[in-house]
Amino acid sequence: MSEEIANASTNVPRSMLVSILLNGVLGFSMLIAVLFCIGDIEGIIETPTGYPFIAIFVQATQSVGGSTGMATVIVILGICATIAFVASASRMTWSFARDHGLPFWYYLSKVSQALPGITSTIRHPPQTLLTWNIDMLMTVSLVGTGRTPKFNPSRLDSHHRHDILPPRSHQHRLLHRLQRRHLPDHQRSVRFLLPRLRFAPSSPNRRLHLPPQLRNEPKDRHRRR
Amino acid sequence: MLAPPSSRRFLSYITGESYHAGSTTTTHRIPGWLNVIGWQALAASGAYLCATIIQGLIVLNHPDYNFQRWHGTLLLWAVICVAVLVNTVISSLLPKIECVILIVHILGFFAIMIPLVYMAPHGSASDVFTLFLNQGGWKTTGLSFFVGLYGNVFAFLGQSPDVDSMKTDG
Repeated sequence: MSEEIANASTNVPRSMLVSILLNGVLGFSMLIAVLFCIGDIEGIIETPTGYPFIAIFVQATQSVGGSTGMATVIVILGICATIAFVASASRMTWSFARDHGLPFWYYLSKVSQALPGITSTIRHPPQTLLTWNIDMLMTVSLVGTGRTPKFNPSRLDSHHRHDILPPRSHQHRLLHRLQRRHLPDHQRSVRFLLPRLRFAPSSPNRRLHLPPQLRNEPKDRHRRR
Repeated sequence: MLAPPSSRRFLSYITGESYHAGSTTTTHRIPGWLNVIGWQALAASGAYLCATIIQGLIVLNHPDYNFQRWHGTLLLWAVICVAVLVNTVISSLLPKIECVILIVHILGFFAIMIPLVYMAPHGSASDVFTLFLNQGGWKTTGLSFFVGLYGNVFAFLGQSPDVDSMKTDG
C-alpha cells in the first residue's frame, strides 16, 4: 500500500506514529472512563447481547434506544475498519502474488482482464484478487458457526510487512549484499511455531473499541548507505 | 532485510519477506503465507465483530429474537460485501473515505464518552485500580489478567506475536 502513497518514506512512518498516539490516548482514556462507569459487574458479564460494553451503556444511560445509538457508532467504525482491513489484506496478497510467492499467483496478480502483471494498483484495483479475497473471507467466517455455542473464530494475527522499499535500482544491490543462507533458521522457526497453534481461552470482559488503523509501527528500519 | 546484520535473521521471520527474491521454493515462502493468511483472518475477524455487535443490538431491542449463529455469519458476509464493494467500485475515493472515518472516529469518541461519564453512577477509584476479579476460574488472578489482556491487545493493535490462536470460553 505504501507504493500508492506520495513521499512514502516520510508519510507512512508519520501516519503510523500519529495513529498509534491518537488511538492510544483515546483508547486508554475511554478504558478508564468505562471502568469508572461499571455498575453491576455480574449483570454486565451475564448480558444476553454477548458484548459487555452494550450492557455498560444500558446500565449507564438507562435507555435502550440511547445505548443502541452509541453502539451503532461503534458498528459504523467497525465497518469502516473492515473496509481498511480488506484493502490492506487484498494489497498484501496481491503483492505476494506479484512476487510469485503464492499458489495461483498468475491469476491473483492480474489487475485488469487484458493486462496481467501490472505493478501498481493505483488506477487498477485487482478485481480477480478481491473476488478471491471475498471467497476466502467467507470461508474463514464459517469457522464461527461451529457446533459449540461458545466457539469463537480463529484470530490469525500476523506481523505487518514492512513496505518501505528503496527504489528498484538500489534493490538489487542490497539484495546481493544481503544474500545469506538462512534456511536452517527458517526451518527451526517454523518447527518452533507450528506446535504452538494452541487453544487459548478468551477474555471474560470483551470490551472492544475498533480503531480504523491502517498501519502499525515498522518492525525494521530502512538504513540509507 | 534492510536491518543491521545482528538482527536480520530474527527479523526475517517477523517481516515475512523472503530474502531470496524470485525463489519459488516453498520453505522460503512459509513466513509470507502466514502473513497473508493472518491479514485475511484479521479482515474476517473485523467483519465478525461488526456482525455480532449488530446481532447483540437486535437481541437488546427485540427480546423475542431467536439467536442463531448462522445469522451472524450472513451479517458477516454482508459486511464483507460492503467492504469489497467500497474497495472495488469507489476505490479511488479511499483516501477521502479514510479522512471522513478519522473525523467520525474522534467525534464518536466524544459521543460515547460524554453520555457515559455524565449519566453513569461513578464507581470508586479504589475499585477501578485495585479490584481484580477472577470470574473465569483461572488458577491465579495474574493468569486471568493476561487472558483478559489478549482481547484488548487485539483491539488496540490488531496483531500479536502468536501465529494462530483459537478461543473458547472457559
